[in-house]
Formats: sequence, structure tokens, C-alpha cells
Amino acid sequence: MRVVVAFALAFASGFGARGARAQSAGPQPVATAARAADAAPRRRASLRGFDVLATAGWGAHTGKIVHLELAPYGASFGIDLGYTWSSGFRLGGYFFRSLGRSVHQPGETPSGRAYEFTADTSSLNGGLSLGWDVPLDQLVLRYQLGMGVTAMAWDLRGTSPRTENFGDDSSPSLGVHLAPGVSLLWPYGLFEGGLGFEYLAQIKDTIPSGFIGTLLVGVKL
Amino acid sequence: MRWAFLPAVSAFALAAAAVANAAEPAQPAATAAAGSNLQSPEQVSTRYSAYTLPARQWSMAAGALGVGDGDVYAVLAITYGLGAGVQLNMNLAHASVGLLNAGASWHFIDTRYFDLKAALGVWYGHGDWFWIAEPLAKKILSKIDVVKVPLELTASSTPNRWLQFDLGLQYDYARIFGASSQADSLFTDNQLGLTQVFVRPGARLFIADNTAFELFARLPFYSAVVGEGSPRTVPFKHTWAVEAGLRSRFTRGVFGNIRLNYAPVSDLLYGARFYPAFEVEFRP
Repeated sequence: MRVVVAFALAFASGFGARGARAQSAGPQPVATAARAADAAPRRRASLRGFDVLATAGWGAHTGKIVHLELAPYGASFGIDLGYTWSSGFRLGGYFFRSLGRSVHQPGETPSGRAYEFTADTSSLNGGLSLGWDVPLDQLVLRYQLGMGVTAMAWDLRGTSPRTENFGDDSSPSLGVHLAPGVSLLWPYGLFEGGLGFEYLAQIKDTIPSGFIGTLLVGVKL
Repeated sequence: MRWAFLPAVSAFALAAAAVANAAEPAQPAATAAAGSNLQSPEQVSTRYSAYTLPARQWSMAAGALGVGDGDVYAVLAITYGLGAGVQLNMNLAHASVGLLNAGASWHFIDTRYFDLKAALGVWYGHGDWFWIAEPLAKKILSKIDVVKVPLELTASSTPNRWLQFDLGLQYDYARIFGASSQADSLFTDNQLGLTQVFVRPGARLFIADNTAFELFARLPFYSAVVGEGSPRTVPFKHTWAVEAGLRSRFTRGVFGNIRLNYAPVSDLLYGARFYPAFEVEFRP
């Protein structure tokens, strides 16, 4: 839902700027080009700077580990900071904690005996990010690619790790992730806030990937 | 196999760092006069559209986590516009893991409101060259060859300056030689070895001069594995896909794209039906 709202905001802001756009095949009026040139310095000035954002959101796992359902995301909160160059390129870092939740689920032994167990998981995620800030009228659309590490704490009650394909792994499971994402930010003076999402594509087989919608609030210096 | 995207990610990081300090240069008057939005010939997306690169225009794209057969796992693509609406392209990321590929496209109808493109590709994979596969998979693949020839016709229409419709019709001829059923599945799971006929309707909403929202669906009406025996059809429920994404101009000559895919094939490739993909394109 947050993504839909973000897109709607971007769409609305885009209509405000659409007057400056030329038809695809037709020549652009000189006055329009001049307006675009005037806008460029103002745009660069608004992008450059160091920002610190508090993040809070909700994440959901998007896959299972074979038949095992793990939910290491859920309510999530953390910090995102970085420096943006005048070109829009941003180098940053992020860290957030996801509280996760318990999932009560059925299982079956190789001999066919049914049983029930509970998988309780949570996670810590952190890493570095490359990004690009794109001005959208009064807003900024931030593309971001995070590369980092997830530590997933897990507790399987009523079954054993080996039965659930965890092998000899012990809690917490450590894995590398890639995290592409997009945020729509509203810079207002020193204040900066917005909505976004990131997708944690997990490389390790025993950590499920997840989609996290985020509210961002902070300052830009 | 899940690390296959690392070369593309590295290329993205290096290239992004290289342009980090490059403030957006002032546009030459001629370029500005020709139009500076994502629908202009220098900036228009050639992915799933009827458009091709202008003459003598290079494009390099790096990306990862795609689910379409052209960008599955990783993209490190190089494209060149020859002129007269013709462009050539190759995905070096796939070639580097033993899947040779090349394609040509021709934008042969170019009008104000309607455009049409024809494209032809050739793919060849030899199991022994597939060095990135795990030992067991490599052993299974070592005796097989896969040939694929995608034929594509794509129409694009731009009824106004904030909307574009695209419709692609594609036939993929694919044949697997010397395959066992296990090897079959390795190539058909990622759809590289699937003979298919599908349509790909899509729309792009230009929400600003520098950003477009894109929505596409892949709707196959015939999918089959063609090997040594009789063809085995694959049901629609395993082959359809939808994607929604954003494409922006980061700075002059640099474009970014992020997409969210929902596709059964993504479950097989990455362990989740709902999965992201990203790409950065440079047009020097």
C-alpha cells in the first residue's frame, strides 16, 4: 500500500512538472529548454549533502525454506545515512532490526508421521548502499542498492534443525544480501521524510528473502 | 548459481563510483532543442519497446536478478546503433558463463504515433562451458547443447507525452540436444530452453521528464520443452509473469531501472515468486 501511495505522490508531482516536457518526436521550444537550464542549478543544490534518516516499517518474507516458513522481518526499525554528491550519486550505510514473529506450522517426518512445531525468528541487517537521487519537482526519488549482511536469530520449538533442512547451522544464521529499493523523499529545509521500500534478496539458502516497506524521517545537512 | 549476478553488481558499483563526482553537464543547445525527456531518441528505453538506439550510439547496461530469459540472473549487455533503425546487442554476462548470445533489432516503422520493431536473436549453450554450475549440475549438463532463436515483433504507440503503450509478440524456438530429463529441467526451469509463443502487453507512464513508471505482463499461449523425444508442454500457470518498475535518468547518459517481478519462474530461480530486479544503463 505504501508503494502505491509513493507512486501516487510521484505521479502527482510529475504532473506539475510536465509542462516542461517536449513531445517525443517534435522539437522542444527554446523557452522550454531555457527553463530546464535554469532549473538545473537549483536541482543540484538541493541534492548535495549528508543525511541521517530514522527508518521504521514492516517487512514480510516472500519465500519458504523448502517447506519451512520463517518470518524474520515484521516490525522493523533502524537508521540510514549517507552523503549525496551534486550529481545525485549517494554513498550510504544502513542498519535495522526486524523483530520477526513466531510461525506455528505443521511438519511431517520421512516416515509420514505428522507433527506441529513453532519457528521463532528475528533479524539484524546492515550494509553499505549505492544510490542515486533523482529530483521530481519538490520531491526526490532515491534509487538504492544495498549490499550487506543479515544475522537471523532462530529458535525451532518442537522439531530439530536437521529435520528442517538447517543441517549443522546454529543461531544466528549469517548470510549476505542484496537490497535494491526505492524511496520517495520530501526535503523541506533541514527536514527530510518519505516512504520507500527495499527488497532483501538473500543469498543464503536458510534465510528467506523479504520485502520491507519503510517510513523515513530525518535531517539533511 | 545465486552468485552469478556478482560481475554485474561489481560493474554497477565501479561505474557508479566513476560518475559520482560528475555534475550534470550543461546540455548543448542542439540536444536540448531535440527534446530532453525519456521519450527522446537518445533516452528512450529500448527494452520491450519498438525503439532502437540512434546511429553510432553505444549503450552498456549492468543489472541483476532478472527473470526474463534475456536478463535472467545477470545482465552485462552491450548494444550499438548502426543507423537506419538497426541495433546489435549481446549480453556479456551470459556469454561469460558459457551461453553465447547475440541479437539484432530493426525499428522499421517510425511514425509520430506508431512504431514497429522486429528482432532476431541467436543463443547457443554448451554444457561443458557452463563453468558456474555446481559440480553435480555441471556433470549432468556436460553432454548437452541448447539452441534458442527468439523472434520478436514489438509495437509501440505514444498517444501523448505522458503515456506509451507497447505490445510484443514473440516466438522462441528452443531445442535441447543430448539431454536427460534432469538436464532438461535445468534449462527449462529458467526458461532458456523453452519453446514458447507469447504476447507482452505493457504501458509506460511518464510521471516527469526524467522518470517513467512501467508495467508489463508476459502471457504465453504455448510453452513446450523440445528435446530428443516428443515435445512436453508446460502449462500457463508456470510461465506467466508480470512486472512493475521505475526507470529514471540519473544524469546525462546514465539511466536506472528497478523492477518488481511476480512470476512462477522466479520461484524456481530465486526461491520467491515476488522478486526485484535492477539495471543501470550508460549511453556515452
